[in-house]
Amino acid sequence: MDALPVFLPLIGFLIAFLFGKQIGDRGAQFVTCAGLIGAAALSVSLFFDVALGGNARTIEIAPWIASGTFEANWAVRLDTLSVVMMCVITIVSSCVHVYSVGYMSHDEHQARFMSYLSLFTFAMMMLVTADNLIQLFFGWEGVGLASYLLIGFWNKKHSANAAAIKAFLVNRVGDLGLALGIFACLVLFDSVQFDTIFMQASSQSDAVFRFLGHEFHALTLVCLLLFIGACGKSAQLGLHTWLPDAMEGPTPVSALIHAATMVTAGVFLVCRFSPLYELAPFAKDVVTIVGALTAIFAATIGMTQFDIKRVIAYSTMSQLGYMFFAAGVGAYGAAMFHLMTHAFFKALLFLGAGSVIHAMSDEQDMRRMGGIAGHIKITYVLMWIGSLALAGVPFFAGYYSKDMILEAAYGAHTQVGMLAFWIGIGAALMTAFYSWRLLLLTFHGKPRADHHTMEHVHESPFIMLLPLFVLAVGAVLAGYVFYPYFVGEEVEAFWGASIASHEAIHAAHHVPSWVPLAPTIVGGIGILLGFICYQFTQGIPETVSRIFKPVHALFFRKWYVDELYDAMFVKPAWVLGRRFFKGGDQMIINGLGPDGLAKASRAGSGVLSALQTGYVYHYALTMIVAIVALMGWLLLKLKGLI
Amino acid sequence: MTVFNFNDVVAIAPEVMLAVGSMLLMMVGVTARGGALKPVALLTVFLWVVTAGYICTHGAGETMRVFEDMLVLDDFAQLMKIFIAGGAVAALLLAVADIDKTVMARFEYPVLMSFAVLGMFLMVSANDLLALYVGLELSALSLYVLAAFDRNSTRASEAGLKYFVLGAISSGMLLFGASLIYGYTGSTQFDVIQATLSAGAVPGPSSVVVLFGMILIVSAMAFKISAVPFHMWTPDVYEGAPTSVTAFFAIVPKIAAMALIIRLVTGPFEPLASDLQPVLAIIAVASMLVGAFAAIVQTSIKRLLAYSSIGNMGYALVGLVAGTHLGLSALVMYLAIYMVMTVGTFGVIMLLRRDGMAVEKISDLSGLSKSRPYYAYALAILMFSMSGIPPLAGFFGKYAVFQAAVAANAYVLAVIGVLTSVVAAWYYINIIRVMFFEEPKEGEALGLSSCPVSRIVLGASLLFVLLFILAPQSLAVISANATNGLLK
Amino acid sequence: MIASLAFYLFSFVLIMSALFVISAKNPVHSVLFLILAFFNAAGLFVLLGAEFVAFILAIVYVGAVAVLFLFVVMMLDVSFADLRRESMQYIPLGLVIGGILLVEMAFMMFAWSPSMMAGGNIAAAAPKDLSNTHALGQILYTQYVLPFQVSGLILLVAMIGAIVLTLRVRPGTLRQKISDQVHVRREDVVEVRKVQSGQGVE
Repeated sequence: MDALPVFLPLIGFLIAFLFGKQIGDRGAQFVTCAGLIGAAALSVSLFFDVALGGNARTIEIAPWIASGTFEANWAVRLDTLSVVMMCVITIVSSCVHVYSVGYMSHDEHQARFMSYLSLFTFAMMMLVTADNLIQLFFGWEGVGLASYLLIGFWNKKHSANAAAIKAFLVNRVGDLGLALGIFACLVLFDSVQFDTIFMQASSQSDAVFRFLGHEFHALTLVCLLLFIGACGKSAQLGLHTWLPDAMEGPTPVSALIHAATMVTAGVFLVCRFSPLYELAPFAKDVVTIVGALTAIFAATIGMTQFDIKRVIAYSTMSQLGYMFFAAGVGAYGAAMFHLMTHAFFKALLFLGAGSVIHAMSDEQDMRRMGGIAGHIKITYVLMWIGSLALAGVPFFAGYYSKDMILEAAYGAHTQVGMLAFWIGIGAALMTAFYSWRLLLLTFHGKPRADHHTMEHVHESPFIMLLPLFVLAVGAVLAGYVFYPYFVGEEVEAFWGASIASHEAIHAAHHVPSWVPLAPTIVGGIGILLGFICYQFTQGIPETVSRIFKPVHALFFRKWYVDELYDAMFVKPAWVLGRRFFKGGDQMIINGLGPDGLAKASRAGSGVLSALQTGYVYHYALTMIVAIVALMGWLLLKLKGLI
Repeated sequence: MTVFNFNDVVAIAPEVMLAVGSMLLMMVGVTARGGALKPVALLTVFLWVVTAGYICTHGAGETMRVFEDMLVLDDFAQLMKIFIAGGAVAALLLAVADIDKTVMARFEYPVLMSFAVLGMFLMVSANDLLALYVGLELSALSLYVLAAFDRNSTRASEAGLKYFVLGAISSGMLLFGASLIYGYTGSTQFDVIQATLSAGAVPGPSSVVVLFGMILIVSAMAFKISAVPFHMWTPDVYEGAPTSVTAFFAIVPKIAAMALIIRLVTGPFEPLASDLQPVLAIIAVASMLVGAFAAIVQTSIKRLLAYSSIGNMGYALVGLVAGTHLGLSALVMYLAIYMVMTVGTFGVIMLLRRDGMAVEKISDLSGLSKSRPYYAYALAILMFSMSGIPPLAGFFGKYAVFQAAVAANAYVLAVIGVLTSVVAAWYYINIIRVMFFEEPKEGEALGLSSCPVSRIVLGASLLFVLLFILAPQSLAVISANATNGLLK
Repeated sequence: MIASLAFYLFSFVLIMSALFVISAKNPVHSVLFLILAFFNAAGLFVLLGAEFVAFILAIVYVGAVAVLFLFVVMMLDVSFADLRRESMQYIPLGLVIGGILLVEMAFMMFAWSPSMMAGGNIAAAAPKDLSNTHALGQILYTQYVLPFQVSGLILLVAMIGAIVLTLRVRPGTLRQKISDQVHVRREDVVEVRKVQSGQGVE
């Protein structure tokens, strides 16, 4: 029964995928949505039982690998960390499932789409409920696969295929880090079970790995390797290039996978391994710095983009950066808190954006929008709610979580923490600015779309709006309601043993009084700037971008990271691959190997056949020659000559 | 002064039955009016079955030498005779359907086969160069005539003539070799030759003559099993001769000649093993290579099967080169499996008719999986077995032979054997490709012979190939028992 | 002395006629030289004291085989000169192989000596008081009955083969059927008609 929320999506996937033709699109939608809503209800009940009731437990389902002392089982680990994730996943996922029924209603392969969504949800649930690294890796790769399938869902679009491949490949780099981290864990602890690892963690705090004559602090290495994995999945600086491109997928996919759930898997991983990170201060610093840099880096790009989904994608990246530096300073509860609230308002923003795109006949460029606020009022209001939450306007969900993160960063009283704090403040300003830039460009001003599109602007159907309401409720209330549990007075009782340390949270409550106010103030400034640039005056953005042309270009071209990677990795890899393919495989391996041997065999066969002349005296001659040769050979052998 | 001993005649009752029976059958054929082929053929089958049954029920027990030690009757000879009789029965049953209602439908056909079988019986029992020679000539002469049996066909006549001329040369070599051996040892009797060679000054000044004699005799035998480089006649004769005769050629005489080689190598030439083994190894390697490579470009099924049989004889010889009891028993096992697979293969191609004739071209089989799926699957199973793919019977034959080679430290042979098997798999599986993945040719689909007996033969061979895995040990035990007495 | 002289004479003529067999332009001459070679071989057998074999050689080979050859050669219009011209291109190769073979045979011949056991192995020579023919007859049906009988079968097969491959029933050929002739009745073949003079039979 406890495992049911994990497997309901799998059942939905199997039915929709295998019997999609038989049960039809409607049937597939019903099965998957019902499965997800059931899973969400069960997850919420588990949340009350496990997180609020303090009833953490692990249910073993089946043995998987047992080899010597090595053991890995299929299991469902239910502690606060995993049930929080389960709730977030299933609630957002059910919203997205229901939303997709409307959004994908014109697609040819609705059953397949729904089945992929359910497959993703199942894999994500496996990931968060894993009680060992192997099952976690299974879920990790499962969500990667589902992400690949869904980004490339419109597989007739070249750019979608390219984006899917890019996402998969970049994730592979991170996955390599994760896999190495798992190996290192196995070497260090001789186990992949979380409980065993965490129990032994303190006794291994001085262990070292020797590699190439150098000594590395073992736990730091493990944590860094795991963090590389987290970077890949969560699109942190360096391995982030796939996330904006992943927006090629259908918008519900972006909302579910690339905003609310999968990309937060890295944050979850760091929180799950908090017992290890607490013993590896250097790794924590690295996490903090990377997170902070990502937050500001993505925000700078987000200010300059025009594709509505890309803006939100960079915003996601930026918010993930917040979560990471929260975890980096030890405020795991704050990271999870922001993860949860972010899931609601970011999913809301994405689905709202989807609603806009739906209304604008699949137009995604904000330069060709504007002036549609009156036409789609409900979406407009919902987008406002999402943006308010994102910008951290008081009493919306984002306010509580983001403030908490910045307070924790300040409260850490370390150089790294201070750096993260100031970067976070800067990013908060930009966040507010680009959020209102998005709102104003999309909904206000004069219509910039053509006459034809404008005529068709319409509110989305109820089935698409319903999930938006649910998420909007979360975006408004989640912060206020859960603040005491996640980071407030109840923090220790709430998290139980699932998070190692709450020191940073406690420290965050004792910061100077200006610190909690700072994010709100800069948020307000950001909103004001947005209005000034895009509502009250004309031409400021153009002037600014002209004056700071190089800087604007740098931001607009995403700091040239894609170009850099293209020149550093992709092109050389292509050249190398082509050389190996043409020269190595085709010429040498194939030429000397299969093809060459085959050709030589054929030639030899031809020669042997040509010897078969059909003349009886040739045959007789062959026999005589053979006998003479054999005799001569034996004679020479006898005389000792050979 | 020796006296004629009637007990000897009793001892060789199977041969006597065959000789008398064949002559009686000839009389039946001559006196019968009209289509005498079928009754005579059935009587011939009956005769062979009775003979084989007699052999089965009158186990050799102790090894016996009769007719002034000219013939030896032992377990090995018995088993080989049963193989020969069984192969001949299968070949004749297939043949009757094939030649019936053609110009070849004459009663001499089974009678000649019967004489050939008699000759082969004498070959496997031969314990004297003289007995060897007459037995060999009796079978060879019958085979020459059978090869040219379709006398309206120039190709068949050409095949018969080629086989005859080259066979005569090989007989000449055999006689020359025999005379050299006799010149040195003063005897033609195997046991005496063996005793003389092992006791005499070998190696010594005289051994050149012995070695040359041995080479000549072994070469003549290699000609009979169509081992390279004495194989040149095989593709032409297989292709030119009527398909039913080709089937007989591919199945039966190979066993007799191989048995004779085993007899020679383990008997009179046993003292020369150190010189003989390299020669046999060369012949085996050459056969495997030619059998594997030359078949690739063939377009005619019969030519392909000719090269296939050359290659298979090479694999069988590997067991002989190993020179151990394990090797000999593997060889016997290999022969039995090869025989059954060949029966099945010829069964399929003789059941499928194009314009009333057995199929000849590989391309005739294209798209067979659609037009005649059962036969396509049957042939596919046989081809997989031929290429030695487990769990079919062919795998076990090859496995036994190579295992024996490895056990005897003949690694090179085993490696070459495995590699050439891979190459050979190419053309076996090519047939499957043609049947399953090529579009059928324009024109009408292949016809089907209506003969139920042929289908039974084919079915039996398929069952053997498929079910061999259930009891591979039984044949191994039989082979081991039969070859027990050969090596002292 | 005379025996030696006879041996060298027979041998010389034998080899020379063998040479002529393959070099004569006229095939009939070849066959005639072949017959001469057989005769000389028979002479050599006589010198060995094997008069039965000698006579068999003369009677069977000369009397039957060679004469048959002669008939065949005379009936077939084969230009041996053309065949020979074709085969001339193989002469170099043939010489090389033949040369090697000759060397090998020479090695063999000079190294040859029978085994010490050979003397004991060799079947006893023909008894002194019996003629060749008599001695052969004594062992042919006793010691060598098996090969002798099988040889008979070989000849039978040869006969069957010859008949199978050549005998054909041609439609339209007329054959004498004795029984039909004997069983013929007068009524079937004879009819008596009265014929008016000057009118003839219809």
